[in-house]
Amino acid sequence: MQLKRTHYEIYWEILTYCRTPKSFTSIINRCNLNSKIGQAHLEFLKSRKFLLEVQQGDSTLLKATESAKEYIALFNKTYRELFDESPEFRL
Amino acid sequence: MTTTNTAQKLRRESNSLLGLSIINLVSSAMVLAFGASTLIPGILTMVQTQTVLLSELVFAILGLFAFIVGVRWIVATAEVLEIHEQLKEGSEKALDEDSLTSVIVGAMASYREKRGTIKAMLLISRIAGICFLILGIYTTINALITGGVSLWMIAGAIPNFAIAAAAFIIPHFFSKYQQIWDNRLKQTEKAEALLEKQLEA
Repeated sequence: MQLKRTHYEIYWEILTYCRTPKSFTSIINRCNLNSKIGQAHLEFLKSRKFLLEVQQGDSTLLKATESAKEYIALFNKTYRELFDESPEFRL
Repeated sequence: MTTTNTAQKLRRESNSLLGLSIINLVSSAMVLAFGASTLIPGILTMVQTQTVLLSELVFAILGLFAFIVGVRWIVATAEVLEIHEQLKEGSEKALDEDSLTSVIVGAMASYREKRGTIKAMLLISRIAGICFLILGIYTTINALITGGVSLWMIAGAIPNFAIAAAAFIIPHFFSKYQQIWDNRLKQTEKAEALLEKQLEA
């Protein structure tokens, strides 16, 4: 998904992907972000304590926290509701 | 609603969009074919005779216009088909909560991106509808004037009326589609307020 996403949607993608520890490069590749924007989003999520750094060997990975799980759950719930509760398109 | 129901809804919407896109594609191909069949013989005649009659020139311009409209219409349809692909891919593999949300997010993003294309397509379709309606009426009147009441000649206008009807029906369904997705986009704005609170907590 590299199309027009809101930053809430990008946060959700990052946090969902980081349920298990991930490197910076794999996050920006998976979420289709450029390094500069990716860095800004990750810094924001770290500042909000939604992501924390985990040391694994020589590399520093990022992992979603418990607060992130609440954000993910709320996001899933609201997006599912808005889709499920809206009329269906049929020919 | 369970994840299965959501996936089924995604699949049904994807199939409806595919159906609509196929009707759209056939109509645009007919417009393109009409354009080519009017433009090319007109140009060939003008080149061979080395003369330009006003009627030939008018038909050549009309043909060129139809050809351009047809090409633009086909391209727009192909772009809309990307939304169908997004929905189809997701509904086929989506099983858990995250995968389903991912499909919805992807479809939202595609729709935001293609919204302008859909709008342009509605306009193109309506213009084509008006043109083919005029052409159908012209063909019928011409047949009546030159050949009397010949069913065979009047039947020549049927394809024009058929394309005109399709070109008027297609925007009706795409408007419905647009209305539903615009409403969903509006709902995301409400959801964003909740998500913002969660981010600030």
